[in-house]
Amino acid sequence: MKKIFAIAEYTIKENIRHKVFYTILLFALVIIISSVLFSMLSGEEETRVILDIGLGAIEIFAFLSAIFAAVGLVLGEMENKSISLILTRPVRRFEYIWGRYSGILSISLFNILLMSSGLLFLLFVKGWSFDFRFLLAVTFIFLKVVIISALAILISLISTSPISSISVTFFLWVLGHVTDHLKYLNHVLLEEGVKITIFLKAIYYLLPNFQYLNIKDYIGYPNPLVGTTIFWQVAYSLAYASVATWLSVLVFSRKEF
Amino acid sequence: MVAIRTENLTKIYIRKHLFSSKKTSALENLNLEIEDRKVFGLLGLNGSGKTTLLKLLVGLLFPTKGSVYIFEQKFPHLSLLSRIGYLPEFPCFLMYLTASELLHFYGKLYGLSTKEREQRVEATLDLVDLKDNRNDRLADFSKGMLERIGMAQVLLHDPELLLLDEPTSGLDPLGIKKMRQTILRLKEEGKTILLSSHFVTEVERVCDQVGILHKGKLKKIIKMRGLESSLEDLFTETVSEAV
Repeated sequence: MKKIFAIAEYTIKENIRHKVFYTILLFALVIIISSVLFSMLSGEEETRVILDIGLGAIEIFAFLSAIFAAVGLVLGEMENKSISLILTRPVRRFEYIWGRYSGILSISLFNILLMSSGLLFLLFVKGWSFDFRFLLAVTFIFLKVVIISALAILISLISTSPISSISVTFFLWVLGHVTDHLKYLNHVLLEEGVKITIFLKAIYYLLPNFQYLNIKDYIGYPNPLVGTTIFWQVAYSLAYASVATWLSVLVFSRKEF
Repeated sequence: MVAIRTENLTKIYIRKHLFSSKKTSALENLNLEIEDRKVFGLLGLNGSGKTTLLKLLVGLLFPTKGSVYIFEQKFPHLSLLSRIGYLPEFPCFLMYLTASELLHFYGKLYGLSTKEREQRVEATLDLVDLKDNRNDRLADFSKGMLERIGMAQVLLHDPELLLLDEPTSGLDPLGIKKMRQTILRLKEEGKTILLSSHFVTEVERVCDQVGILHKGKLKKIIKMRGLESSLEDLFTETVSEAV
C-alpha cells in the first residue's frame, strides 16, 4: 500500500509542476466566471444558465485534465524509459498502475472541488438557493472521470502514440454519452430487416454509459432522485473502472521495457 | 556463493507487423555463472546482447526460454530487487523532481522508513558530490551530474549486486576516472558487479573476470589474473573468429 501511495504522490507532484495543469484550471475558471455574462442575457433564468455553463465547464475540464494525466504521464514515462528505474525496484506491476491511477484521481478530485467552489461562490452571489443535487452532480462528474481515467490508462498501454490514445479516449467519451441512441439504432435497423442486434448490444454494454451518470441535467427541475438508483449508478461506475484498471494491470504485467 | 546463474537463457524479440512477424535472436542458450564479490565485465560489440542480458536480470524483459538465478533464488522474485542496483545505459529520470525528491521517491519504493531514507539520501548525495545540489531540479542538471545521480540511485539502498550498463559511455575523461574509482571502491567493499562495456581498456582495469558476448552467444570467459596476452587482442580474435 505504501508503494501505491508513493507512486500516487509523485503523480500528483508531476501534475502540479506541469504548465498544462494550470492552463486547464485557468481556462475552466475563466469559462465559469464568464457564465455570469451569459446569464445576464437570459432574464429570469440567470442562475440556471450559470449552473449549466458552470457544471458543463467543470465536466469538460475535469475530463481534459484526467486525459492529460493518464495519457501524457503514463505513456510519456514509458516512451522516455524513466519507468525502467521504477520497475527495477521491488514494485509490483499492479502497484504501479493503481498508484498512477490513484494519483490521477486525487488530482482530478482537487480540480473538481476547486472549480465547484468557484461556481458555488458565483451562484450564491447571484442569490441561488442551495440544491443538494448540486453536490450529487459534482460527485457524478467525478465518477465519470473515475471511469474515463481508467479507460485512458488502458488505452495508453495498448496504443503506441499519445495522439492515438487521446483520440480513442475522446471518442469513447463522446460515444459514452450517446449509448442510448444505439438502442434506437437497433430498433430502426430491425425495421429495415438488418439484424445486428447482438453486435449492437455488445457495443452498448461494453461502452461506458455516461448518460446514466448525468445527474446535472436534473438540477432545477422537479425530478426526484431515487436512493437505489444512485446506489446502482455508483456501483456501475466503480465496477466499470475496476474492470478497466485490472485489464490495464493485465496488459502492463506482460509489457517489456 | 554464486551471485548470478543463467541456464540456457534465450531471448528472441518478435516484432509484429500487420500480416507478418520478424524474429530476432538477442541471446541464445546463455549459461553463465558469476561469483559474488567479484567484478565481471561483459564485453561485446554493439548489438551483441549485453543490454538484453542486463534487462533480463532485472525483470524488464522476460526470457523466451531458460532461467535466471540470483543469489541462488529463482528470478523474478520481488525481494531480490532490493538486493540489486541497476544503472541503465541511458538513464532517464523524473526531470521535474529535485535530486533529493527523486532519491526519497526511490527510497519509498524500497520500503525504507523516513529516518532511514533521510540518512541514506544524504549519505548517497554526499558520495556522488551532489550534496549542494540536493534541492535543484534534475531538469537543470548537466550530463555529468545526471550520470552521478544515476550512480546515486544505484547505491541508495546499499545493494549487494550492481548491474551497470555501459557506465562510462558519454562521460568525459575525469568522469570516467571517477567512475572507475567508484567501481574499485565498491569492489573493495565486497559488492558483486556486472558491468557491460565495449571499452576494452576500462573493463581490463576493473574486472576480475570477463565474458565475451557476440551475436547473443557467450564466446569466451577470461580470468584477468595471470592473463598473459592483452585483453584487446583476445577480444578482437574471438570476435573475428566468430564472424
